[in-house]
Amino acid sequence: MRKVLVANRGEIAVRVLRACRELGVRTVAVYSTEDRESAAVALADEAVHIGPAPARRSYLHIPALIEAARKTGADAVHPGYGFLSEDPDFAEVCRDNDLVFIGPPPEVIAALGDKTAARALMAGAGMPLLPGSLEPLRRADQAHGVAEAIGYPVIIKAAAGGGGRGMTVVRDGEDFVRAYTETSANARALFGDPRVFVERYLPSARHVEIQILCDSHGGVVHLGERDCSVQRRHQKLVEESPAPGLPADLVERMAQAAVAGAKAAGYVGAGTFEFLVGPDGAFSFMEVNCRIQVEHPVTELRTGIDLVRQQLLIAAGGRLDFAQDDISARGAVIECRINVEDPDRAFLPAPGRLERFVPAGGPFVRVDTHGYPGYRMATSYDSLLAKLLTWAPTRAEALARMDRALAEFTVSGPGVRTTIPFLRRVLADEHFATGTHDTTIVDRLTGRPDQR
Amino acid sequence: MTAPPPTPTDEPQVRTPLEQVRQQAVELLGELGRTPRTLRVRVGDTAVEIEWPEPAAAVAPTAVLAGTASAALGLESPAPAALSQAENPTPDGGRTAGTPAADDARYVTAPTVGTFYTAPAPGSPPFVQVGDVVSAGQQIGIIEAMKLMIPIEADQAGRVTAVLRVDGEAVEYGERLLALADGEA
Repeated sequence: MRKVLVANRGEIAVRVLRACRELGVRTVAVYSTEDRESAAVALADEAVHIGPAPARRSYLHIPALIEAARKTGADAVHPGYGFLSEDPDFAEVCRDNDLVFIGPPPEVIAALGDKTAARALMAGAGMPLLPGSLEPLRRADQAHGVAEAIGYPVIIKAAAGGGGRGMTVVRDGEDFVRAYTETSANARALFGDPRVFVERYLPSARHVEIQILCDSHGGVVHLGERDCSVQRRHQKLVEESPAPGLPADLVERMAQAAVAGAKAAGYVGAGTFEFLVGPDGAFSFMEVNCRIQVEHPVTELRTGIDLVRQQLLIAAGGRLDFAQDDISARGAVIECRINVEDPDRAFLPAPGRLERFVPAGGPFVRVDTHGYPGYRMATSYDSLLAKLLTWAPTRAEALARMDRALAEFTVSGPGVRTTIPFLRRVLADEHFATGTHDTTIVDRLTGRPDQR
Repeated sequence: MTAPPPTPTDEPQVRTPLEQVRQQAVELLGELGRTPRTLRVRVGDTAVEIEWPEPAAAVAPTAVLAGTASAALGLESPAPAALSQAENPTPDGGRTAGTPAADDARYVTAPTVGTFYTAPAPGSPPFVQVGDVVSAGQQIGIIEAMKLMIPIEADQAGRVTAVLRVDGEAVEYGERLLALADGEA
């Protein structure tokens, strides 16, 4: 692997470019018209203009990406997260064009991307699941029957769903048929696939995920957990490790389940098994993310292992050069996502030119961002501007350090608002501070019920 | 949104149907299992046509591309930046509809990344040459992207003052291919 094309934008493109550079691998950035002033373009060895601002014609446009790789002689493609990162067709087209796709094989992405197929596969691997259907439910009455048998509330999910979209919570049987019809129609519109399934909904749960790394020679390790319970409409705002208050033996059982699941799926690369942990302390499998995740630095700071570097080494055919026993997690890590959104106006995007951009610094602080002073935040893509992480020996110290860092972090410009003030309110929340919060915390703080 | 200045081929009307036709062509090719001499898929006004002059020629563009140094291909002066330069210097603010001037050139730009061809086949005469007068909708070249041949059309009438890319050159989205000046025949 000599030259990697990064088929993404924003902070993750910068993150991948840095890992390549540290490995001595040459880099190609691709950019849309709106991103021509981006940090990734400035940082890469080469850059190719692949299309206009709409992602459909640039970052999601497979022929443009393949041609860009061909034009520059790249021999591998890193898809980042979002966009085409979990598109089995893209992985396959890369393979057909002699490009190494830095991610799992297309067959694995396809099997795990279908949530019902993934549930069936993981049930076979002994993974605990929430009560629900293992098959897609093609008729409303059939689905209704399943919901009645499970008991309300239930959640209807698109088989092809992901990224927190295509889900409906049903609290009352009278609403079920209408919700079923709507969710299926939405799933068809969003994912081109109307199939849905039903499982029990846990109103008060913790979202905990396990990071895994698998090489192509059968080596599988886990790198511990991340707690991502601070979410708004299924979008994560704060992540941390360790998961506060979770018994070590519970985390260990989840990790073992993830390793067994990865082996059963024939997984290769970096991946994440997402679980829900109920109030009773039981955990249930939710889904597998076949990509590097936004919150991967949490695990990097806690284990000292560079996950993107490992992705590159694995894709080049290398073996993991450490065993499970070599991995030790130290201290506590918090990550806050700084989005250009206005928390006072329902988190509406509030982008603009960043006249002032002064990231936090100081001891044990990490900032992953594509922002710089004078940068005009792109409006065609997501609102993530920066990920701010702090490490400390204990959670309390990491939180204090995070509050200090958030207070330092200065972003301003005409029309620009960020989630920084809201994140400080989360940190100050009593339940969060004591680690007794759950996925309902944001609704509580905004006084707004979650309209899924 | 900071939209770029409207470029001639920025939003070709054929885009969505073209994508569908292209998809059909790819599927058809896959089912054939061998390389045909010609493949033509047409729905309404939208068509994809591919010709393979001889079996060996189909791989030739790849070989050409592998050797091109992209640094020489305009990374230092990306097309959109150049475009805005061309559009901005009209100090009197007039849109200059009827006042042709030397630096008043308009450009046909690349609608996608790919390999630009000036002629329908190797050895054939080019679609257009300097001095030709083209009409809106007239084909001026081809861009090959992932083995599909996308016809490139002039979006407006004019006289060709320069062909800015050579046959077989790799181009990026938005790169200028052809300069046009006002000039009725």
